[in-house]
Amino acid sequence: MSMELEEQYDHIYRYCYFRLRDAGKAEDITQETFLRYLESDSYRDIGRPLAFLYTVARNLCIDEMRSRKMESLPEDLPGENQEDSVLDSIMLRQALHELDSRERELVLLRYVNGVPVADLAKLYAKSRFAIYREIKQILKKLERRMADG
Amino acid sequence: MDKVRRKQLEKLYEAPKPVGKRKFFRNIDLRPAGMWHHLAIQFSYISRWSWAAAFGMLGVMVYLSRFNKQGMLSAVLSMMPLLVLAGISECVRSSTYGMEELEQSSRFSLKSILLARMVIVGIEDIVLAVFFAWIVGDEYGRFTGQGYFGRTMIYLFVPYLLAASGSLWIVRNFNAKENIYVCTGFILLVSGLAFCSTTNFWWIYEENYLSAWVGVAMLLGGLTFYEGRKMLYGNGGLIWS
Repeated sequence: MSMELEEQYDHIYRYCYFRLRDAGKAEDITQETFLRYLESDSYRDIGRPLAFLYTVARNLCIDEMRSRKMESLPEDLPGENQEDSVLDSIMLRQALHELDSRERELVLLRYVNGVPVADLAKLYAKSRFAIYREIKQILKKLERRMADG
Repeated sequence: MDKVRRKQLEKLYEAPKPVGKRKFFRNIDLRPAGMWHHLAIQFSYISRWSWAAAFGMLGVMVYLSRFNKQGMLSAVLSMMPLLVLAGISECVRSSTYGMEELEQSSRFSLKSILLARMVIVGIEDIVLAVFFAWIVGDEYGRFTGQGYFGRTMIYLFVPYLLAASGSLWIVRNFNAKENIYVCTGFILLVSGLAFCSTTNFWWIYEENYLSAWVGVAMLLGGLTFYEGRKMLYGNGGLIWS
C-alpha cells in the first residue's frame, strides 16, 4: 500500500472534525471510512486511493449532517477558543473566516492535509487545472484580506 | 505557501487528539480484501441448484460406471453442455432479475463478481470433466490401450466449449430477461447432437480424426475466451463502475 494508513488516519479525522465539529462522531466516521477502504479493493484498484478515502469520508459526513438536519457547514474554525493561538495567526484566522466553507475545506485539504491536486480533482470531479486555479484564487483572496486587515 | 503559513494553518485547523486510533489499528486486519477472499465470498452466493445439478451428474456417471458401462460415453458427452447451463444461469443472474444497477453500486464491481462466478463455475466444471474423463477413459482404455484419458478430455471439452461460446454469444446479443431460455434451447440442441454423434456418427471418435478434434477444441476454446472477455469488458453497461 503506497500511503501510510496511520498517517492518513489523522488527516481524515481532521477533515471529518472540520466538517462535523464533534470529535467522537469524527472518529467513528474516520474508522468507518478506513473499514470501507480496506474492504473495497475493486474500487481502490481503479483510481487513486487517497481520493477514494476522502470521497468515502465526505459522503459519510454528509450523511451524518443530514441525519442531524444540519443544512450548512458550521461557520467557526476549530481551535477558535484556544488560548495559545499565536498573535501572527490572528489575521490569518480572520481572513479564513471570510472565506466560505468550501474554500476553507480546500485550504484544509491542500495545505494542512497535503492532498495532491490530482486527488482533489478526483474528489470534486473537476479538472486538475480548475482545482489549481481555484486554490490560487483562494490564496490571493486570503493574502488580500490579510493585507486589508 | 511558505512553511510558517502552513504551520499557522495547521494550528488553526487543529482537531482534538483521536482517542481510538491505536485500538482501531490494533484490531483491524490491514490486508486488503484479496482475490481468494473475494472468491470465497462469491462462492457462497452460487445457487444450491447449481451445485445440486453438478452432484446429480456425478451421481449419474457413478451409476453408469457400475451398471451400464456401454452408455457412459454418450451420457457424459450429452451431460457436458448441461454443465454450461448451470454455469451460465449463475453469470446472468444479475441481468435476469434486473439487479445490474444495484450490483454496480455494491462493494464489489459487477465485472469482478462476474469474473469470480465464471472462475468458480469453470473450476467446478473442469474438476467434473477430469472425473468423467477418468471414469470413461479407464473403461475404454482397457480396450484401446494407454492415453485414453487425454482423448476423452478432448471429446468432452468440444461439446462443452461449443455450448459455452454459443451461450456467451446469446447472453450478449439477446434480451436480458429472455436469454436464459434461448441458452437452454441451444444447450439442449448441443447436448442432443453430442448424444446422436455417439450413436449415428461413431466413426468420428476413431483415432484418425483425433487431430481434427484437437483443432476444433482449440478453436472453440479461443472463441469461448473471446466471448467471455467481450461479456466482461465490451458490454457497454458493465464497464461504468
